[in-house]
Amino acid sequence: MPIKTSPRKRNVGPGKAGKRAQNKETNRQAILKAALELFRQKGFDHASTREISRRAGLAEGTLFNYFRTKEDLALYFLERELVELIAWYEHPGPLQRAPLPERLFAIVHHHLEQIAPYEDFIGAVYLRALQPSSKLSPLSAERRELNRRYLSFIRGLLAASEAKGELPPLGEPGAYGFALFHLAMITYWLNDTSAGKENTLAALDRCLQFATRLLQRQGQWDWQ
Amino acid sequence: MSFSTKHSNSSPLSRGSTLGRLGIQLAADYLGFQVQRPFLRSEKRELKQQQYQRRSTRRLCQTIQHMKGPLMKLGQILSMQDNVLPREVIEELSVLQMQAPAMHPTLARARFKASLGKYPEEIFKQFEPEPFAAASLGQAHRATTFAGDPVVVKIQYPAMAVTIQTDFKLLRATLKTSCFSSYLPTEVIGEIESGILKETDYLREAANVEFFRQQLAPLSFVRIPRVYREFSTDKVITLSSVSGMSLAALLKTKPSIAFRNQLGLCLLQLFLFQIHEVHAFHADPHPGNYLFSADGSIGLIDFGCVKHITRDFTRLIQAFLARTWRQDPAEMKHMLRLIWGTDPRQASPEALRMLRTEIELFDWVFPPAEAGLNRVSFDNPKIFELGLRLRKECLGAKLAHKEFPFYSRAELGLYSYLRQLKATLDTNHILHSIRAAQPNM
Repeated sequence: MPIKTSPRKRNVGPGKAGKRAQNKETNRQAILKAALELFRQKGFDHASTREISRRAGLAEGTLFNYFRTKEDLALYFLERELVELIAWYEHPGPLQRAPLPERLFAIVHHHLEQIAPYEDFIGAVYLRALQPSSKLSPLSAERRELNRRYLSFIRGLLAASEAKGELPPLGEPGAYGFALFHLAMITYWLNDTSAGKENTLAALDRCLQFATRLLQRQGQWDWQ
Repeated sequence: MSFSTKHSNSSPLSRGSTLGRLGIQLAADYLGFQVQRPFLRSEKRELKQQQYQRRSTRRLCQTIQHMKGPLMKLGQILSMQDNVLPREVIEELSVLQMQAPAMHPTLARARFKASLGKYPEEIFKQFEPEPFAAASLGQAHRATTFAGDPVVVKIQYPAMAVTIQTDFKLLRATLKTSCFSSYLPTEVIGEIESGILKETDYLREAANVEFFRQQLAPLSFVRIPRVYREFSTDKVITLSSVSGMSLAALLKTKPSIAFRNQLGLCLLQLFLFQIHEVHAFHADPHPGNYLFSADGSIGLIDFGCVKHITRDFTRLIQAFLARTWRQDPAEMKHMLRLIWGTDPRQASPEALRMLRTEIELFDWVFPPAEAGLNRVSFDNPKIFELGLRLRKECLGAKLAHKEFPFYSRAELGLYSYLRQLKATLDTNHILHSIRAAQPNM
């Protein structure tokens, strides 16, 4: 006896829920794209949510369904950059076999390349992040998940190097230390006026080479 | 070729502390010598002073050997000044010439993009991420253009100009702590600093390469690279690949006497042609900059340090070659004025000593007719010794021509090559053939 199947079950495309999620993500990205364009033109502080929604082709009320404030938009931007950074790093290639200072250099440098088109916006975000009440503050509840993902990524990378004997056991403080260094490098990069931001490249390379050598010697620097 | 970063002091902090410790060590050495000095007899005092200088130089050399960048370049330059430094130190410094720590592939790629706006793989069909040669200011990568031409891409370390200024500031402070600076004059350090700073502009080097490629075209045995302007900036320079080996590698193949003499002849011709015809010369006779081939041709690379000669200096050289001025007091006066630019009576004893050395050296290299010598053997240590002495003396003499220290450095480099080749040459014939080609001689 042939088994009767309903036409709905034979449908191979995404379900209603999946389609809704896809639409949501498309809208989010359209809003972010419009916002980034406006931030570049007018600056983070001077672009209004009304202008962003108009540019994205959405009603202002719809925009609020996705992002309640501009800070939420900035958080989404940071999250998307982090996801892209991790995916880029984990993509198999010669970088995976490179020494640790080079891999760490590549992570920070790739991140800087990603955010380079939005330099002014990033500068404004960093200024906001200095306010403890801001959602963008590294200590805010809203950034907790973002921080956790970043630290877990770095921790995994350092743990692999520790297992190979490239580094002494650093544990969690190692990941926190690198996170601070990463933040410091972004601040340095934002203030770097040298041609092609070459001073950032030099500082990044030298600091990482020096720190790795120091850690490999477990703090016992051989000055000779 | 691998490039170890194991011993490089690349961070400003470690470089500063290394130089700081060097300063303390130099000061301690100097104080030790000064304390002993009043109690020593004159011959013993001289011996002790020599020992102190050797120890201090060694400390300086050992320190800069471990420094990446400009101070390593200083080491390279000092290594050319044989008689200024003891032999064992020169041997140590000569190691520096090919041992610069490299940028890792990610940094080199980032540096390339920061300068040219695109990654190497977007510009070249093939680009080797690992450098094949390192220099103090940059490193060289092999690449192939989309048209299929093999090229060399020289990429400069980031922020070199700032590093140079910082390192030289630190070095000056270090040398101040002892009287070591009298052994290595501050003017010399200043001259080297400004020279190295100029070398950070690769567009300047590109212009030099193009100038020499055009001017040296009549010498068929010379190979000069071609600049790919479209792939060059002030921090990245792309040049056509020039094949060849260093003189040391060539000598290991045990070339015949005739071949060595032929190469010697070409080197002397090349030097004289630059002085008398081009009025500009390649002023960095570093062993890696001359590439020799089995067919007898010479590849000339690295035009970062080039000196253009003023008309006055050319006139001086031409007058000097005539020899007649030595007998005629009026002409002698004129010659002295050409050299010092002012009243010859004001010439210092150091300067007059230098002139005597120059005359002696000139007569050894280009013997006068009455000596009856047709061929000069550069294996004779006397020529090289005089060249070294002249180099040392000219650094202390206040001359009217700033070109002279560079000229003597290039001349010394030439004699060093000719000595290694053990070449025997009819130098007067070469000189006359070049001068005969000049309309005003």
